[in-house]
Amino acid sequence: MNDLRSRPARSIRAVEPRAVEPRPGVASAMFRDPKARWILHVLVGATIAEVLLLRVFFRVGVFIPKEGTFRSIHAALVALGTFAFNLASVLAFLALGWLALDLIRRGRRAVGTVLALFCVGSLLALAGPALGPAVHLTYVVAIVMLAWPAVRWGGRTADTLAIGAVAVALLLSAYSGMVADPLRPTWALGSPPGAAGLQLAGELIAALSCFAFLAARRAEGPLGVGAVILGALPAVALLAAWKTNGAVTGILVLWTAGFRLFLPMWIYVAALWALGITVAASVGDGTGRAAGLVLLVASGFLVESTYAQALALLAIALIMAGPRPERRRSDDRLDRTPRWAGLRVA
Amino acid sequence: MRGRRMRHRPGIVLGVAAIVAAALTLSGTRLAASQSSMIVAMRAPGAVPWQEPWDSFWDDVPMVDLPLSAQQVVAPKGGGRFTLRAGAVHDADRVFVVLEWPDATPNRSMERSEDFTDAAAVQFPARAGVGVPAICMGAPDAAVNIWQWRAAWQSDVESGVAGSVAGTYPRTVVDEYPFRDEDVFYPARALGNPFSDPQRASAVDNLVAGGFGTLTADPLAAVTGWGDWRDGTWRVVLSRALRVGREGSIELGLETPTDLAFAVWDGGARERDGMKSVSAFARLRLVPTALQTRGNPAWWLLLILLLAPLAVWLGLRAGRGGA
Repeated sequence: MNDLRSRPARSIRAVEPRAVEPRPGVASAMFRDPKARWILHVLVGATIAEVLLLRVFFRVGVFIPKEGTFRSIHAALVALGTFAFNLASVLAFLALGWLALDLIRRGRRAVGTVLALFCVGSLLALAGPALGPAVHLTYVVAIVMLAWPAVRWGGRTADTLAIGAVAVALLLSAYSGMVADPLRPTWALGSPPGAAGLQLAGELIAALSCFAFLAARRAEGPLGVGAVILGALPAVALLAAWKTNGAVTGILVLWTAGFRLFLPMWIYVAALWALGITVAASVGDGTGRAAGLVLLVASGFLVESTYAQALALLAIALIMAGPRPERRRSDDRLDRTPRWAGLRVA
Repeated sequence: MRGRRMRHRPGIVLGVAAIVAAALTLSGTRLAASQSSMIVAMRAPGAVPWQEPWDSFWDDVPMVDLPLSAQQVVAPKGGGRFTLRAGAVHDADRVFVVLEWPDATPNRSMERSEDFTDAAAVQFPARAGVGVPAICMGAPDAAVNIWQWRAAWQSDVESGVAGSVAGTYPRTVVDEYPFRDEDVFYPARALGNPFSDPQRASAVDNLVAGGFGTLTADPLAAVTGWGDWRDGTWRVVLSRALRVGREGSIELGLETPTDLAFAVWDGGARERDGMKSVSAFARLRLVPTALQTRGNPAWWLLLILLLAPLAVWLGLRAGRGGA
């Protein structure tokens, strides 16, 4: 592997682009199985529906007088959003459990066991808060183990930076969460330092990681005008909402994505645009990046629930599936497989 | 083997998942456990120095960082973004909630119409252990109990008298105020308005609300508190008996977690009423465990020292396994 990374001949690279292999041991067979990908497709769809209907619409509905027809529409959409949330949570744990078993089967017992422990712990934690700290710790270990190969084996600098930044941001957020752990004071004393400051630093890193993802995608090839325009839509929506009612938008962003918006607003708008372009440009490229990034946004920055943590772990696993494999033109002509959310739909 | 078979039947898996999701929706169950900030109140080993917020005793009380943001729901909106630190202890009879937040200048007066006091408040559901009420003053069917400390009230308690015109404007010259010793001259005081109480006993108001515009004072559920500003930081301790037997005032007990939220007013920024910084709901749990003071190790440092090599080892192992 090191030989592949070291000094590729410049003249050769100019003629034939270097094929970048998926990182070793990260891309799970589950995500390569066309039929199993249906689970992920539905998960992504349910997550988007949950975010839009439950987190956004339900929250906005708080400020709207619910009378007449709107009352019925509101109730129906919130019920639909609740169902989407439940479906997404079931599928998230199912997919994560599946991924854990697959990793164990393929010899990656350590990371597979940690993911399995997280799934089991999350379900047991429903009975009471006692297991919360242990699950949180398992989540932290899982982040490190999933993201470690990106640091260990490298790849494109922007790609490594993006994955590393996401992992660091999630770890900082997790640290802030663990500081508020209910079990902490019962066995030890003292206040850990810098929880709020590190949380803010994590938010900055999370915002900057969007640009690294865009750079990583750009390094693989042209983005396309369509992706640039399509990717701007979420950013334009955020900007319009902010200009219309900054206060409500601030609450919504905190509620949906866990960002406190302490940085200048243009940074968030630009970061969302960069992320939107990356997602739009990655749809149908055969990697799990688009789906992973959508799940990452849905998991949010302040991952305080086991559902959000499961989404974050799945997102890292999908993003870690590696850059787009190089394909020949003949492959493009022959491959008519329908694609959606960055994955082939067979 | 079973997993492999399932992988070939995504329709069945999705169908089962949809049925489970529908069951969860209908039963109101959530397949996710959320973590909220938890303030654990341990039992104090002796007398609690609640009138000395900077006593070293409070340095041993575990504190939780809570982000505050501007109140932007109801006019008048306002407030800012900063971090409040909160902790609690109890002595089996009373609970003591300690708050700490940054404030560049102390504002301890509201005697002139242009003066606004620094203040802080803790909000509980009126009934402990029930679900989170609406954070904005509760709701008609989910009342809230609020303990509000004001620097101006404390100033009144300290000086023994409420402010007067002569005290605020010492060079004022008045020939004669008619009826100056009669109730008609002090209508708010005559009507029992807590804002005009000349014999203030506590720096903390006990308030009950069931929605916007329903805030009502209940001074009989005596809540006490004391604050001290030092080097750009307010530290305030609020205290009340665990049980007071007053409708609308929360009854606290061991091992019954309850929600609580915080609000802070910066008088220097002319904040009052709804112009305040608010937190989301956190949880408060009173436990019988005794609070240990001094000489304890920095557990978080030990945790990091233990976890860091473990994480590196697991990462290396994960990488090796992949190779």
